[in-house]
Amino acid sequence: MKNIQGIMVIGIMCFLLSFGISVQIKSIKNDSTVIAKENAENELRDQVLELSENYNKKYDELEEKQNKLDKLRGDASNNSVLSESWSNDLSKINNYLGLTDVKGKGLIIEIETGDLLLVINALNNAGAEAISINDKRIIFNSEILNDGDVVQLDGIMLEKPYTIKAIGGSTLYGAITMPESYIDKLKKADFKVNIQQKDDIIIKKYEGIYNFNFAKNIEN
Amino acid sequence: MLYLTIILGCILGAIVGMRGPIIPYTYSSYLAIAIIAAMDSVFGGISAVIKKNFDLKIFLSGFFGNAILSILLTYLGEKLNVDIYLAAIIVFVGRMFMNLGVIRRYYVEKWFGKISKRSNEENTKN
Repeated sequence: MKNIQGIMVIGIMCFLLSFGISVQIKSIKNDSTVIAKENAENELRDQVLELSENYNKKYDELEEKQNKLDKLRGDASNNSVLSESWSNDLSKINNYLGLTDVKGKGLIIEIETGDLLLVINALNNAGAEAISINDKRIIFNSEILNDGDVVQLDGIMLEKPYTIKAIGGSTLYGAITMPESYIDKLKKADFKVNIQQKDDIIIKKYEGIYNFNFAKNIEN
Repeated sequence: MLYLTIILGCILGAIVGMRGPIIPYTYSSYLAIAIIAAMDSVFGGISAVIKKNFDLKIFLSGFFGNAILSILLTYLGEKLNVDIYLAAIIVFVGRMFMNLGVIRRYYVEKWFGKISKRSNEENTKN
């Protein structure tokens, strides 16, 4: 008889147990448990891997295409009747557009933090001919977004510290470091600022693609 | 009889639970640990029934005592930022496997018709 009692109690306990289990399952079905979070994290990791692989592939493709384009450009200008001046013009234009690696004397500025826009503005104002931040070339329509502590250049997140390279005349240094300039203020506020003057700074070419869909030339 | 009651209890519990309330997410970890404790107790009870040394008082006190203690441990762990509930889970699941082993052995031996011969030995062994 004692056994029957025990069986009954176990039955009631099973009732409570499965009641609890189904309540729990229902409660967390749409919510994120530890396991669900881990799963989500793993999924995100997979996505990151996939995206980065995709990115690398596309980047390789882009590089290949760019090499082809360079070659075609070279061929075209070589074959042209006006080859000499055309190829000169072309390389000049590419230089202006930031499509070529360039080398020259200028500054390397390393700052821990600060408003990059002001620095770039000052450099442009002082006549810099080519500027890059963390080896990302600044072109004529580059955008710099300051979103709190995160700085994006053309949609790419920049990592600290920022290394700004600029090629330009000897006025650059003076213009950048003159009293009451932004860099000067940063220095005075005890931020780490490191400025080097060098004769052979290499600035890499712009790695994006130019897209002109709306601005058309006016034919005369 | 035992298993009929268990299955009936589980089905009824599941049905009632489906229509039951939803608990807030904060408390779901407590309920989860209580469920593990209850499962441990139920398996312990089944193995006790099989071994014929089932004691209602011990069973009930174990059921509620373990559940409450593990909930308290989880709460303490949350306050201390240590996952103490993992220790409770390890103990409970370990015991669950032990009890399942007892149940399994009973039925394996019953299946091979040796239970009557062995029962005396078993009783002295355990």
